[in-house]
Order: sequence, then structure tokens, then C-alpha cells
Amino acid sequence: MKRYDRREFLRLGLYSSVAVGWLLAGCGPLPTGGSAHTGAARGGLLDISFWHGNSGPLGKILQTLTDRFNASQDKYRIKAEFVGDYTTLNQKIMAAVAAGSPPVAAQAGAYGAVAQYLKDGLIVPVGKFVDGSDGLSPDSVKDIFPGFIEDNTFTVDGKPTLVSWPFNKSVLVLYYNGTMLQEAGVDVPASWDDFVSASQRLMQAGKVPAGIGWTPASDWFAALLLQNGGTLLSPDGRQAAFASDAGVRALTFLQELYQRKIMYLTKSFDWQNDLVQRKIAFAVSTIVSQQYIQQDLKGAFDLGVAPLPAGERKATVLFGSNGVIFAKASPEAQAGAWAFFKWWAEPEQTAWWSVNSHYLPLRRSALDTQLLKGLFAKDPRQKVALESLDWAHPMPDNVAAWVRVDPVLTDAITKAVTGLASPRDALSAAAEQADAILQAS
Amino acid sequence: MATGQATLRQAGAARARRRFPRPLGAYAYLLPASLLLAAFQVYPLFYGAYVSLHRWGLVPGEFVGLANYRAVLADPDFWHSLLVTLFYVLGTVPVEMILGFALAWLLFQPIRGRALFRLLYFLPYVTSMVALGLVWSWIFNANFGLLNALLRLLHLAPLNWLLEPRGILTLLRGGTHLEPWTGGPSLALLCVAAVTVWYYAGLHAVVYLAGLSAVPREVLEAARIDGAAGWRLLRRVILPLLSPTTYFLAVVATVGAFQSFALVYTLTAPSGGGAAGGPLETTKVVTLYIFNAFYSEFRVGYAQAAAFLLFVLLLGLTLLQMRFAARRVTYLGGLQGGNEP
Repeated sequence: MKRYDRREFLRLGLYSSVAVGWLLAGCGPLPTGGSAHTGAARGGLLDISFWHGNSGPLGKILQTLTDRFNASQDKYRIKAEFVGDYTTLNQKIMAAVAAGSPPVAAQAGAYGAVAQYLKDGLIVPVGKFVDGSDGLSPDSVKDIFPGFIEDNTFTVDGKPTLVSWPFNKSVLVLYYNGTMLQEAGVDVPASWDDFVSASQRLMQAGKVPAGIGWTPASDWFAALLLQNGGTLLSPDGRQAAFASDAGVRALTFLQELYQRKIMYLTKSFDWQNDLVQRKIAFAVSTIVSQQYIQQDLKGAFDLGVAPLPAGERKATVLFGSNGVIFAKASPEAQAGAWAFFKWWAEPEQTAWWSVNSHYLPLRRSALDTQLLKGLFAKDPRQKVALESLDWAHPMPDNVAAWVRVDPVLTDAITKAVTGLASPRDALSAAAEQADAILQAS
Repeated sequence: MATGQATLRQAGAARARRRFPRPLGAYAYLLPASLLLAAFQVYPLFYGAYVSLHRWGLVPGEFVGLANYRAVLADPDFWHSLLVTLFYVLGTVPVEMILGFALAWLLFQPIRGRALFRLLYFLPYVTSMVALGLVWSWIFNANFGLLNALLRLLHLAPLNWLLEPRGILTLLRGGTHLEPWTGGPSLALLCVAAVTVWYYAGLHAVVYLAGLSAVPREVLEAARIDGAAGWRLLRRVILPLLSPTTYFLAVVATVGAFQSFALVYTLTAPSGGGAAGGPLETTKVVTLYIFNAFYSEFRVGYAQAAAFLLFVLLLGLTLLQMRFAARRVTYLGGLQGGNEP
């Protein structure tokens, strides 16, 4: 064995320490760097970090708009940063919070994220800024589609409070293969009865093996439930309400679609490929899916977008994410983030965002802008889809425990659709479980 | 014994060594790794234990003692995820090892193209798990996948594969209900296990191959002279000599299977940000359960408690394996230096 004198020993120690220091530094803080998070002033501009989850083409569109905001004023500089999909974004925010350096603002896209951030006191309700000196007039607030306000309103200290800000919002719509429907002389379905007969005609004509492919989730069920006059939760959010007759009818409808082989089940986003490859004629998804479907479609057929077919009444559900402002940021930085959110929702910007990204415009007056009028003239279907905004409702993700109820409901839906339980039994059992979760939280 | 000059030199060296005794050099070498382990393994372990004793959403809450542990142990979903994990471990580890050994045995024979076969079997292991998960998802696709096309070609009824929540025993009986205990693992879990075996068998083969190459020829020749051949040679001489390899693989594979995440996640990932582990939670292994509680449900303290329970379980299991191994594993210390554990 080798023996060491003092010089050798010291040299070894030095090497070890340097190596460890280097490794620790390399694996240290988040790659996004620390100092800018709380709002750092540079060259007279206050840097405002804004983390988002819009990748690829959507990210570029977001960056273009952000650049315009930065050029439009000389107080703030928004540094928009893509940090991964909604799940990853939420993970990074959790890590940044634990490390004590959250960004100034972020999209909160993961299910229930806003509710949890609020519960843990991590964010400042934007209502404070809406009512503040740089706020919005009541008319301006009314101009924003009511579903978006509903979606971002939480109970704080017993009062309904606007906590987050609608940012990139979408809605559940019906997609269809326009070319196929036209060739078969089938009209775009306006009701679910139409949908069933249209699917059957296309299947009988040998155009498709099935009408629709679907990955079980609570959203389509929720829309059907709302159409039947039901709700997912009681108004106070303390009890499950989906096991009602309205719910049973909604689930029975889905079960029959499956049993009559009009619908088959898929995993993840497989239904997108199936639609592109003409295995199905219809799909139910958010309005932003067209970005991805069109990308695969490469113009092979005409992709149609229609409002969700109606049941007893019209209803659909909202998706997308909302913007939050973190409490840890300085008041100046928070004001900067708010200035960006406010600007973002102005008619010109929200119209431009909508035309380019297919997300929804946030306010009614945007529909009168040249941009959206031009789009509607070119592609009338886009307008039709936007009209469903008037009857769109959010999922109850302003109830913090909804993140745990949703998987329970999704499992009940899967069980009933695949015939492993009756719709009523599946929903009753799920409601019992949901009540326990809601009351314990 | 030594000349005077040498004695003097030694005395000088001894003086230099007095302040820094010899083992310190070894410690210096160990320092970097120890510090890294301390920073990224030991400290998180204790911090995790600390977190698990608190009500902890995204930010620290009050101290709750063992309440999180009690809540985890009282949650039927946790026990269900352990059952799923047990099915998964039993369905992967023994199969991987037997298959790995069989492959190694075949590749150990003097056949043509040995290097090519070795490469082929090892290839899955060096491929991205996520990419593999996506390819296998397509093969298992219930509606238009490769496997169902094959079944149709053979005039057999197509299966739902990764979408099938019913247990394989239930399926064999033609049942239409979910029977979590008596129905066996779901077909979906079996698919995930099959992909896992396919992924790791090559690795096991390579490790076994190394073990086989290290078996001394003299021992084999001696055994042959004594009349052992074929199955008896394998069972009485080679397998016992390979027992350290088997022991190593068994421990590593068991711990790995209990902790596996990426492959299960990719194969069962839902659309949107929902939870993986479907259909109907029948592939929700315990790591997915923990991941879910942590990242989807924001129950950090609770998830830490669940993770700690898994840690204790694995520690116990490894200790059991060590006790078992102490009696069964033969080390060839005398014949080959450096073969000790």
C-alpha cells in the first residue's frame, strides 16, 4: 500500500475538495438561475420572470407577443421561459418554491395547481390588482367571458375572489373529418342523436371502423352531465353531485356508444393518429388540439371543428391554464407581472393570440377586431367554435381536493363504459369515495 | 535486515507520517465520493424523514408525528399499489434471471456470430426507455396494434392489452368482473412486465456471461474427469460457482423492480396531465403512487411517508436476501484472488 507524506496528502485533499466543489456547483441550483426570479432591475428595466408550458409553435407565438409587450413600455422586461409541459412546469415551480426562489409569475396549468398555491399562500390574488390603481373598469371585467372569471374565482376568507388570471384558455369541441362527411353526404352533428346516426352511416358505408376514439377522462362526461342539467360537485364544493340521474344518463350514453361499437377506447393521444389515419370520423377534445392534428394531417383532408353537440341543452367545459403572481416577488415586480397580464387580455393582443394559437380570445370585444373578423371570413368554423364560449363552464379545479376526486371519477367512467359496472353503481361508489376526500380536506 | 542508510530514510519518512497516519490517505480518496453521497443521498434521506413527520403541502406545515404514516397505511390504494408492485416484481425478476442465464449459457457456447447475438440482446438496455415505451405502446395498441393484427391473422379474438384492467386469471375464466386479489395481475400489468423482461434480460445475460467466463477451466476439467457432464455439471458445479453473480443480480433486480418507474409511466401515461398507472390503477406500482401523491396531489409530507415505508420494506427485503445468501452463496476465494464480496 502507498504511503503519504504531508505534501502528497495535502495535494490529495485539495484535489478532492476541488472535485467535490465543482460537482456540487454543477449539480446545484435550477438551470433557470436564481437572481432574476424576484425581479432584478437592469438598465432601468425591471426583469419579470414568467414561466410557461407552451412548447413548439405555441411557445414562439407567446414569445412574439411578449416581445411586443416589452417594446410597448419602458418599465418592465418580461422574460418568458418555457420550462416544460404543465406537469413539468408544476414540478419546477414546486422545486423553486422549496428552494425559496419562485418566478415572479407563471402559468398554472396542472390540475388543481392554483388551488394548492393559494392554499399554501404562495400567490397574490390578482383581484388585488384588478381593483387597484392600475386596475380594470367594471365594464372591462364584464367584457371577459364569464366562464373565465368563474374559473379563476376562489373562495378566500369566505368571499369570492379573483385569484388567477385567464391566460391560455381552450374549450371542449367536436372534431370531424370534413372531407369524409361531405363525401358521404352526412351533416355535421348538432346533437348527440345526430352524432350517433352520422357515425352509424359512416360505419355502414365502410368509411371508418368506428365513429370515435376516446381516452376516458372526466371532461366529456362533465359536458354531458352539464347538458343534462347536472353538476360535478355541490355549489359549496363539499360534496359530489355527479351520481345524479343526469350523471347516470350521461354515463349510460357513453356506455352505449362503446357497446354499440360506435366508440372504442384509446390510450393517451392515440385518437389523434386514428383521426388522421381515417380510423375514426370524430373526436372530442380541446380546441387547441387542432395545432397538433393539423401538423400530422399535412392537408390530407379537411379537418372540421364544431361546437360540442347538444343534449337537452348546450354546454361544454373549459380547459387551458391561468396566470398566477407569486407572493414572494417584490411589489414592483408583481405590478409588472400584472401589467403584462392586463395587456395580454386587451382586445388586440388576445385576438392576435387567438388567431395564431387557436386558444380562445379572453373577451367578447376581441370578436370585433379586424384580426378575428378576418379569420371568421376565411374560416367560418372558427367562429362557430367560439360561440360555444357562451355556454362553457370550468371544471371544478378551484376546489383544492378536485385533483384527488378527478381520478376516482375517471375510473368510474372507465368501469361503466367497459361494462365492468353499471353506470349507477360506478357513480355511486365514486361519489362515496369523493365525499370522503372532499370532507377530509 | 536493512542497511543503516535505509534505516535513516525510513526514520525520516516515519517522522513525516507521524502527523498524518497512513489511513488518512485512504480517507482523502474516499472524501469526494463520501461528500457526494452525503449531499445527495444521506442528507435527503434525513430531510425526507423530517418532511414525512409534517403536514406538508408545497410549504412546511405543523409537526404531525406519525400521522402521515398512519394515513398511508390506512389507505387501501397504498396496499393495492403494493400488491401491484408484488405482482410486477414476481413477474419480472425471476423471469429476467432465468432468461438471462439461458441466453448467457447459449452465448457461452462456441457458436458463430456470438458477438452479434451479444450485441442484439444487450441493445434494448442501451436504448431510451421512453422511446421503447412509445414503440411498445404502438405494438400493444388495442385497436390497430401489431399484436392484435397478428391475432386476427390467426383467427383469434383481439385483446385489449394495455387497456385491459381485468386480471389474467379472470380473463382465462372468461369473467367480466374485477377481482383484485384472486384475478391475478391485469393483462395490462403483464404487458408492462413483459416489456421490462425484454429490456433487462440482455443485461442479466451479459453479467452471467462475465460470471461464466470467470469459472476456472481447471475446476470444470476436474469435474468432467470425475464424471460430471451436461445437466449435472451445470447444476452441481457451474450454478454454485455462479451463485455470487446470481445473488448480485437478484438483489439489484429486486430493488430495481420495486423502484421501477420510467417504463411503467411511459406505457401507462394518460393524455393530459392525469395520473399514470391505468387502466383502473392496475399498473399503479408503488413508485407511481408516491409520484402521484407528490406531484399531482401536492401531498409532499404524505408522499415522503409512503416513500419511507417503501425504503423500510426494501431494506428488510435486502437483509432477508443477505441472510439467505449467507448460506447459499459460494465464493471461490481460494482459487481466484479478488473474488470475495
